[in-house]
Amino acid sequence: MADTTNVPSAALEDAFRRGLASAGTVLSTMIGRDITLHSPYLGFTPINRVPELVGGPEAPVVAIYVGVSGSLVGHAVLLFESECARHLVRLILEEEVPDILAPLPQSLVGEVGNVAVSSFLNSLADYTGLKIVPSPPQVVFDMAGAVLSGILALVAASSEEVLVVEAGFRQQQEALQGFFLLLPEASSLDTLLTALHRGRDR
Amino acid sequence: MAVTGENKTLAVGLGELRVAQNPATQILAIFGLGSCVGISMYDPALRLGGLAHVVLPQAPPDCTAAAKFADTAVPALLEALLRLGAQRYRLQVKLAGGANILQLGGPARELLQIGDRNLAAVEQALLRERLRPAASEVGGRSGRTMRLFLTDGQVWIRSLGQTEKII
Repeated sequence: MADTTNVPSAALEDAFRRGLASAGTVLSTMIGRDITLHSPYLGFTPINRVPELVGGPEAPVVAIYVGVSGSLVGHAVLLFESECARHLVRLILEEEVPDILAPLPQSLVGEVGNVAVSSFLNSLADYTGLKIVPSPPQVVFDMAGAVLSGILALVAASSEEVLVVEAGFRQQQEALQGFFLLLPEASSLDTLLTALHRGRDR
Repeated sequence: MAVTGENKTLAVGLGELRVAQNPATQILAIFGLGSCVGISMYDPALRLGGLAHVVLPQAPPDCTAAAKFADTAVPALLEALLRLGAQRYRLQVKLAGGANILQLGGPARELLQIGDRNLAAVEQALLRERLRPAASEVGGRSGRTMRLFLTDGQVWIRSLGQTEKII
């Protein structure tokens, strides 16, 4: 297990703030409204606490999953509770959507999620100088615990803690709660933390 | 392990194992199973049962978290129940989970389809203990919540957008 007692938290926060800002800019352009992202929580969490953090293991969520390879190996997941996903679609389409799982709303949420995750990862790659290769996104609707269990299993094989970034979306007065999880596999955690140090000193 | 809880429902988290007895406890539950496998064992004569929430197929050599891995969770759950007086021949074994919800990327290719691998490992471990599942609700691509009713040993399975099944 990687040593997480010596996490360069300022560098982490800096890198993630930039990542979220960049995701917000891209989303604003895409949606044509001013969207900002903020992170109320960033830190390491025991694996079995992760489902609680994202609304409970049984909460219905729309999840956008992107696998990460290259010099950083891990998993990125963006989760919206289904009500939030519905709200997000309403913001974009400016009309009510009865069924968030219909093909159009689902692909819309997937696209928004993909854009947010990709721009976040790009920004992280720039900051750290690491080569980060995202996989094509997958969008699923299921219980939060169920969506995460496969990923947590991969990470849990070698580590007891994961790096979690909570992300809130805001459009003017309207707040949208989403959760962004970056889960580096244990083999990559040291790489990431070292690169973050370098990035801050650059 | 002591029989725990006076609550109606006890939740069993990722990589955990719990045993409980009625009437002190009504229900043991695992919420939001995906690729993980929930193993239920129940002795109807004692209204005593247990759930294990298995995350991975095989424990590493120096493993301290028995319930997390299929090959160590099965004997651990069995032993916990036997210690409380359960009889092996009376045990009803039921399984849920082992779904493949995401096609996970990255270079960890050998871990693709982790749900299938978890199921195979649980079944093998049961075989080693000469136990056979009486019922199961496994595989597929949907998450599940699993509840073991300690009053009668029924296991209720819930997926989003589907009616609850009893196995």
